Amino acid sequence: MTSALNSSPAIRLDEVSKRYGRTLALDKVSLKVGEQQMFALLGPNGAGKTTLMHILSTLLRPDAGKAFVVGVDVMRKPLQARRRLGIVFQEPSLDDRLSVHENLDLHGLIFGVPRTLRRQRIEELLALVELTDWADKIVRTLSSGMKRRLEIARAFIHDSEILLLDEPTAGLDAQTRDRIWHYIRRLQTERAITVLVTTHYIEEVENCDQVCIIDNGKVLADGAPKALKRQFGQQLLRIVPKTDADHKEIVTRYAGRLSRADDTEIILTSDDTFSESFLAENGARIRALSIEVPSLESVFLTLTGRDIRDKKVGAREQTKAFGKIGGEHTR
Amino acid sequence: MKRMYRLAGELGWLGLIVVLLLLVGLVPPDTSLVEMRKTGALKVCVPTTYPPLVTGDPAQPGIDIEILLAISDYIGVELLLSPNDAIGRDFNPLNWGITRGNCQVLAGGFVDTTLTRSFLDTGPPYAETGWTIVAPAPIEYIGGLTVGVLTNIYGLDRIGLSRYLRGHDVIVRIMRNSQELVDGIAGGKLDGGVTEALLAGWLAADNDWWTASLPDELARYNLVFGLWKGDLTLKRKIVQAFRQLESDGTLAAILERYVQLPKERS
Amino acid sequence: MTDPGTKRSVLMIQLGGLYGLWLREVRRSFRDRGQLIGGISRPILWVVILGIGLNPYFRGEVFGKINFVVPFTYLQFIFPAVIALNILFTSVQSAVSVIWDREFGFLREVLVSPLSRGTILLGKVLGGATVAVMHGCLVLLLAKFADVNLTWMKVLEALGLMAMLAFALTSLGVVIANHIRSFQGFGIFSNAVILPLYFTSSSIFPLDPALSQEQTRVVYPEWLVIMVEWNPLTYAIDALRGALIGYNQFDPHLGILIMGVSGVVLFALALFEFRRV
Repeated sequence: MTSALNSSPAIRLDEVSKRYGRTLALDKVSLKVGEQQMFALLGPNGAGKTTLMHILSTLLRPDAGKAFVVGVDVMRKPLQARRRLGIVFQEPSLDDRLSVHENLDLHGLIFGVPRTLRRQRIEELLALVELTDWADKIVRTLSSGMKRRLEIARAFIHDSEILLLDEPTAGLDAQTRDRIWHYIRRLQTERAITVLVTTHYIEEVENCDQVCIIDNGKVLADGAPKALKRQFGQQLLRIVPKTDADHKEIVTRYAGRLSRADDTEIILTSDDTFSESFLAENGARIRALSIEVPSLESVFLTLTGRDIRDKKVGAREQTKAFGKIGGEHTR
Repeated sequence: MKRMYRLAGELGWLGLIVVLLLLVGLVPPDTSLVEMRKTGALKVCVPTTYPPLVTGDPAQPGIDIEILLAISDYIGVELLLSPNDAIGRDFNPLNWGITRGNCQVLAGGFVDTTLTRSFLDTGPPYAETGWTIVAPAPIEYIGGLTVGVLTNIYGLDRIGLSRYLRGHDVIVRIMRNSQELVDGIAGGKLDGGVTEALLAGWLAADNDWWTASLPDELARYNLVFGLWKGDLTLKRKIVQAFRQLESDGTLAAILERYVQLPKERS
Repeated sequence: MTDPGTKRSVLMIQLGGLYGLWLREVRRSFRDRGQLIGGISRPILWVVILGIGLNPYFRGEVFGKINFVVPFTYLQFIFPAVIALNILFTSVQSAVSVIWDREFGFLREVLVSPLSRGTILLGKVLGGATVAVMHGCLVLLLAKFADVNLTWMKVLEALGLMAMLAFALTSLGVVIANHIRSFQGFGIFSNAVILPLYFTSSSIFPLDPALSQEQTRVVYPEWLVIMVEWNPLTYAIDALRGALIGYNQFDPHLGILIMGVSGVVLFALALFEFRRV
């Protein structure tokens, strides 16, 4: 893995900073993504992931720092960079009055793919994401999962070497999410491309080659999931106490280890020895107990001091999410 | 393949739209033709006399009359003439007192000019005309001669004519009618006369005189029938009738019988 | 992995993209039922209904006395104006799609492509102008009804003028759409500006060319005459009228000049603003 990093990385960010008014969206972010890696950028909403994506996709200029895709400086040679990038944005960017096929064809024309090659690629990619039967349907009639699939397929019509996915599964149900990842992985293997994904779903990130945790515009950790878990992961003890009195007792006694507590459940940070001793001492007070192995959630918790899902989804995010699944527009 | 169907479908819609608009365009825009048919007659305002267009002679009624007869025949209605003394005589057409109530068509000497078309719509042209000189013997040069000018037809460029004549030092005598002109030339008081081409030809044929059209700097005009603006259905019918007359040679035959071509051009 | 960029020259990519974007606009117009219906209903309403309705007020009743000092019927007079009306509406509507694209994401897809901003804008404007000209042609289908004789030469000339008008108006629409963030804003604009622009362009009532300046101002209020004379659309419609029925109130070349210059200027302005996005 490291050898891939040392030879020229597919994506490289050097101390990239971006400020919006008074907010520092990105604070000296540095990253390296090796070739043909599946790289995940993990962080809550507002962490700066989308800003980073926009910089990489040449839509935004950073205030400081440099960014490179396959060695091309995105600020100096944006057109060249674009030719190598396949991008799937958070909001759908399809033309929903055209058919599936027409959307792909349009993309091919825009990216300068010659006709025969275009036709061939469209066929291949439709088969890959299993949308062949829908080739002539108007995009408006597609479900949001299918639209996502289409956008992913579209990113490959031209000779893209890097796939940038900004929250590809946001707003989709669990089953669709699985399928989307299935297609992403398949494409990655078949096309031998590098993939950079941003997401706030921790479970999706477990199978990636490398994970970078970002919050408030700063990189908090960067490495393979296993390594991160080993380094920052925290074993957790999930306790369901018997009575309220028991609840209170445990909370006061182990205040130092308290991670979170609500009406039904108490979560304590733990390790192997503590788990055993706790059970021995408090067995009578608890109804249920489970030991959670270090997970990326706990990694996140350790690094940021809060749950990735803690942040209340603001009104803006809600509207955005609504928009992502198609919104109200009926045109 | 579905792609083909979609394209065909869209073109089909487009075709439908085109057909719809064309069909709508067939809606009659006014009731002029219907109204005329109701009365069973085509009413035409004409001057009482203006040879060769309107002669007053039943045996040889005149070009315009014969054409109108042929048209009303074609349409299947009677021809009702409404002779009007004032046409052409009075310079101000408002004094002619012609209204929609009198007639649907105006004939007997209307030319297609911007001025005419400010008031009326026009039918198809059937003859050409312009200023013509008529004299007992061929005239080489008009300069310095005494000429009688008869401008009883509405629409020809009187101002241009007077400018031209004055420019050639011609002594101009205004004539009130064709009889006066003929008498003047025959009596020797006038060296010649200038008037509208067809009338000039008619007079020349009658008196065995010579005619020539004035130089091109004075315009040539098309003779037309006048129609009221907005009587589109009637106009279409008349245009249709004209086409028939042209194609079967009737028009040419009528013209041949009346028009004496100028012997020379000066 | 083939080396991208050597496959096609830059020019070919731009042209291919231009074609793709143009095609997108045309395709979308075919699927926009609302716009098509508007494109048919307008000529029907204006030429057929209004034409028949107003006919009795403009036709001759007495020879020598006229209300309408133009050597054509009223139907003939407004016919070219209705073509311009269709073009006006459609051009502005296609500009609305700029707001759609921006708000709903398609713009981003185009912005990350190898196409230059100029190509993107040109594709949009050419596509919108093409659709506008097509809608203008729908009005031509009623030529026979309005007693306007069409010859091939006339049609070609008219098409050329329509294309210029459509290009200028679509560019104008894009310039305005760039500044408007919402659809309501655009609706306000189109009602407050577009329609008044149309009605004061000598489209439905003529300024009598035979009258002198003073005389015109006797017939119409001063402010109206000034609006008509300063309205660039007046000259565009006049040029179109000249081509179709041979009637010009102003110098025919003026219309062409104004449309040409404004088209270029507006497009340049739109491009300038677009580059800063």
